[in-house]
Amino acid sequence: MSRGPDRALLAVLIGLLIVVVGCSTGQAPAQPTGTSGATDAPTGSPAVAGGLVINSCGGLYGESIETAFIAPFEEDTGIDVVYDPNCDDQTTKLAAHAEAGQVQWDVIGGFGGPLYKDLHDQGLLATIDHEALGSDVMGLAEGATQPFGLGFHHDGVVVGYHASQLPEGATPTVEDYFDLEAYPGARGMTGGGFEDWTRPALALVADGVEPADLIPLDWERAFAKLDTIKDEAVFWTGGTEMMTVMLEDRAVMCLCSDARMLQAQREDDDIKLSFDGALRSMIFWAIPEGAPHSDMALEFLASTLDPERQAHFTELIGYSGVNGASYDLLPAELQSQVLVNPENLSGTWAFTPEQDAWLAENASDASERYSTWVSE
Amino acid sequence: MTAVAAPPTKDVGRARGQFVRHPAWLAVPLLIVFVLAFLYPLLRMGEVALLRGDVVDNVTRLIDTPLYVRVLGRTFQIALMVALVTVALAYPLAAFISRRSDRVQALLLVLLFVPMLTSVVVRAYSWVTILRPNGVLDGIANMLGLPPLGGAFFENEAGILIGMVHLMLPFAALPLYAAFRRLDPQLPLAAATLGASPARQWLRIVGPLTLPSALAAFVLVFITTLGFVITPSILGGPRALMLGVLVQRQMALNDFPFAGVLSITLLATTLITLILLRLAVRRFRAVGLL
Repeated sequence: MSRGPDRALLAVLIGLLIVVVGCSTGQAPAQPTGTSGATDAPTGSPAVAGGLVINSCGGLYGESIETAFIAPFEEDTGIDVVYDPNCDDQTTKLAAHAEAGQVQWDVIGGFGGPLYKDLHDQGLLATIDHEALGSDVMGLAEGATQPFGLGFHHDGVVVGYHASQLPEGATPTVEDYFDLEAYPGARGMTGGGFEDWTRPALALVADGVEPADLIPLDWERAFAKLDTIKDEAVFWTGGTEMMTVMLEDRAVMCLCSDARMLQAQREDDDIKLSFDGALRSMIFWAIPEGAPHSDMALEFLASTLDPERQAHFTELIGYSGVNGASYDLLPAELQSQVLVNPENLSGTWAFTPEQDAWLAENASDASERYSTWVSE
Repeated sequence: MTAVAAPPTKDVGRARGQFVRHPAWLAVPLLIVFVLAFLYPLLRMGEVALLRGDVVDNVTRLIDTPLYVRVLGRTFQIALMVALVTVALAYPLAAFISRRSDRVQALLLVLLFVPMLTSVVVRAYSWVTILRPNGVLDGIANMLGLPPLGGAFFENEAGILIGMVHLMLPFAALPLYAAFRRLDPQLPLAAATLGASPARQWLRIVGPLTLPSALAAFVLVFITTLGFVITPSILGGPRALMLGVLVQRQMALNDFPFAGVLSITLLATTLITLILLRLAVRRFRAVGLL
């Protein structure tokens, strides 16, 4: 007799599944249309009811954004801003929002050109009207006005080092980082998971490749160069761990984020930065396609270009702003240390937008290759 | 409806009553959740993996890249180790708890479950502060005049093992505790009266009555560990990658089809392992073991 209910349950299960699948495919697929600023998002979603929603990373980064940009913006405009401080799943959630036709964020930030260009190409990010924003005539750092986003801050992969553990007065270059004979000692290095082409590219530069000739990356040569220091490599996983490795003297030198090294320096002034041969890239703000408040989002983006706010941000966290005028507002002792200091800047190099396009296409491959190398 | 067709008219009403009142219907709310939160997303993932990307390309990539095969192997290895160690610890623990007085039992169970009130992330980072070089463990070693461990259990398989066992222990201990509670204390006593040694009591009475629960606990821990992301990514570091971490990375890189292919591979290999395990258990039972 129990057969009957069992079968009936199975029937209910299958029926439910058909209903769910039917409902979801019956809806018009919420594919972004590609026209920017078209805010026909369904009203009544929680994001629409509230104010401007911004998603970027948490920790000191998020706190600095809230203090330097969001608080003054709220004061000026009276607009309520909700800051969502978790960027680990930004791409995943953005794609999910788009698919559901319910975009929850008005502004996102925290990632580089290759990723956002890729997302923009797929219709997940709106095209920014830099003319309307006024950002095209502000003399921002090169490459800050892209169709997919507005430059937020510079990001450097620099050489961080313990001055006391190197010969007197030495300022090691990226080339020296790969030279164990001249500078013996442990090397701090990322374990991967984020823009995994950076260290292979720096290895190639240290091996004598001109930045202009880097793309397509010669993986074999890059990993051969990386192999030469692997015995001394100390790997870290997250940004905080990068600082810990240096603060606990587990490495003499590292290829590290400039901002993280400036933060570490506050706790241990033996830690110095060298920009010679360092990789410079840019982190962007972007507006999701179909963002519920895209007008306010543009207003917020414009407000981030204020040199005072950018200088405040640099003071809080160490990242250099894209508006050159912010540099003049920094305290003198910080000016000598930041990436945009003219002398520091002249030692750095950056990928061109064309090279970035290749990197975007090969990001997954780079991640795979780098992880393989680390875990081998 | 098939149930109603055959019996004579007198029984039809009764059969229908049984049919309507059958307890199986209580499962319907759960079924709805299951369909909405599991089955449908699973099908969508399959759709993304199979239709949105180039499946042949992605599968070739999976097979040809040593990273994925190696990480899949390591994932199973770690899950197996975690399940074995967890059950090995939970078994005597459950036996111990079940033999205390009722009040002490309640207290011990609360102690067992208190850690579960803390988030998984917090617990993983607590282990980081203990296990990392110059961490709490090194401090203790230093105090005892021992050489520092220097992170011997950090950012490797051992770190994942420690973190996951800690996380999974309550889940394994509970079914085992239930099994020991169900066990009639008169049974081993009777065996002892008949002259059975403690080892023999366990082998003939306690073991056979509790091993099915141990097996269930093992499977539960094994499967949960296979797909875990947070603890392995925090305690395993960049060298001891597990497959879940790679899936997350592919998603962050906006490569959903490949992430889907990786997930389906993990799911399929898990199912195959479970089927093999079931066959093995059946074979053992057939020859009188278990």
